[in-house]
Amino acid sequence: MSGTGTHLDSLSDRVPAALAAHAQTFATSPDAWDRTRARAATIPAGSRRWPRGRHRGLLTRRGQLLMPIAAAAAVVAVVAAATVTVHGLSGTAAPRPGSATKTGATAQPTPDACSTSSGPLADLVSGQSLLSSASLCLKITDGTQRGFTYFQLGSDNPLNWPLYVAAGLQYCTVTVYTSAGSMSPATAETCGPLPRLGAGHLASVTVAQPMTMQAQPSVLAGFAANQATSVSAVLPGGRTYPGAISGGRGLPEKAWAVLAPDVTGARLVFRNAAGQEVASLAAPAQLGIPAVAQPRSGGGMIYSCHSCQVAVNAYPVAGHVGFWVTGEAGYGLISPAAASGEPALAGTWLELGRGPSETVVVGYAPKDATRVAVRLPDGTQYPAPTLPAPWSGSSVRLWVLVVPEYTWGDHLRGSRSLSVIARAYGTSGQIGAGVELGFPNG
Amino acid sequence: MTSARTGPPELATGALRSGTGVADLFRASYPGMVRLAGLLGADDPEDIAQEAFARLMQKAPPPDDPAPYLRTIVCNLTRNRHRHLRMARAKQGTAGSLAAQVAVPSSEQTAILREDHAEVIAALATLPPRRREAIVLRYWLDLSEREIAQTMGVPRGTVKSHVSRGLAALARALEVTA
Repeated sequence: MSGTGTHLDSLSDRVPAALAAHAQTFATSPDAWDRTRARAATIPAGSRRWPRGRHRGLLTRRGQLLMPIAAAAAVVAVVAAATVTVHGLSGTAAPRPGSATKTGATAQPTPDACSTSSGPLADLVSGQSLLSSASLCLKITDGTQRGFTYFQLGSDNPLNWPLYVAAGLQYCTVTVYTSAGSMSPATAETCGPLPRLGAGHLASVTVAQPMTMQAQPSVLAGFAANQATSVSAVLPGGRTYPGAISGGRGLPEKAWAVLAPDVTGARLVFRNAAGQEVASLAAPAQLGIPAVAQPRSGGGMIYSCHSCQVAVNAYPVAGHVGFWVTGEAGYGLISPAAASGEPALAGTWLELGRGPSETVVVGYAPKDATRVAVRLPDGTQYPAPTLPAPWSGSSVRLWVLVVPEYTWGDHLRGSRSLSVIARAYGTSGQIGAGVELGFPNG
Repeated sequence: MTSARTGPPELATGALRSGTGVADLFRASYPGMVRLAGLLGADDPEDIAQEAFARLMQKAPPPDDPAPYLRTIVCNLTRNRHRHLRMARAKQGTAGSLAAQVAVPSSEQTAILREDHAEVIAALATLPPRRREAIVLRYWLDLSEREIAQTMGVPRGTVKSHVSRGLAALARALEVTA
């Protein structure tokens, strides 16, 4: 190493030597092979992703191990956990004492309360997931595999741009593999809109699907009238599997969920505090979560990257604004709030998959906004002009910002704030308050 | 570059198809994958490597060449883990030195390196994840731009950019500490 400075030529020798030396410091465990085999045994054969074809409308939110879109929405929501008041719904709901019990079951789907504030789910949530408020959380233990089911109020979190799905109440499942005593990154996470209980209805079931890639157990979930205090799935042979039911701040009705190894012919029985049956429903074999497909018309392209064959299209979606990324990593994000409401400024990071190293932020701004500026934690600002929405009668303008060669570590270093703020400007200055955008994928 | 190839041994093409090669493959390649994860800054490199092999073992059909598959999984998992830790720490209010917390090697690991090596490793830890990946894949595994692009899932031009900018950042960092 020359004393006159560090040069790239010397670095190309120095770096390999340092890497080689450092590599030797990582030891391996003698039981690594056994642990790996045990771990592999917990993975459903084929793929760990939820197959879209099998679960119609049930779309992978994250867990795209080889698909580098990495869920901007999920990351954004993580920031929400850090910067937005957590709603703190009633948390978990254990099966009620005295409720029906599982009898003679051979499978091991054990419904149990789980916490979103501590334990593995909290770890997952704080690190990567979208949860900002949950009313119900169920845990299953099936061998070394554990799964969690939770509800969230997606619409309550302005940073959570739902992936693929409509805004509103969200039903989400997360499957976490916890073999070998350590938690790997989540492998399956799905979310979808959860319709409210219809007028005059005492209970509804809106979700029925395998909890994991394996056929069993199945999870059933939905809403029930507030008078219901317990829920259970009663199989034709009489086996009964208690579930969990809970209300929570912000939830219009009680949310419930049941896990059972086989729901064929099962009935869902809801009881009140006195043990009286208040509702009974046939358990459907499987229900997909309805998803919002990319509209075929009514919008248009707002950004394209010719070298990577990726484009971003914008559409109005039931009063919201949806952005769809085309190409290999195709997916859509829909604004959590209606575009006509407040705030009239919103944005979300997009990951363009195999595209350029740049990160793209898209959003909408008030009709009289001429530009939007995005401020990173270190004070760096990127301006973006607003564009007319590619549909008639729009109450907002759109904006696209390409952040070149995003160096998140550089921007975080020494920063006191973790906020990424977007502000809209018109001819006479700033319009309204700035809004938090959250973080892009790292 | 004049240094000898220091990466893990190449994985046998078609080893998984033989039905008998998984254990051998693991024996030959697991240490290399642990080291790759470690060099990329994983806090638990063995966990990453085991997860990568577990996924490989369940992949149907098995890849013709498991090496790129494993490398990609290790890179993706490590990147996910970085993000997880970064956000978890952000939530805990330790925002001030996130990048350093995510990537800097432990003092114990650093201590057993020569001082000049330790400086390089410390500087490497300050790079954004993808630049660090590009540097490690290029200068430890000695991969070509095409292979790095395949592993990282980015165009070759992006690889070139990551490597050159990563080296420039390393040079700046090492000048400061020199």
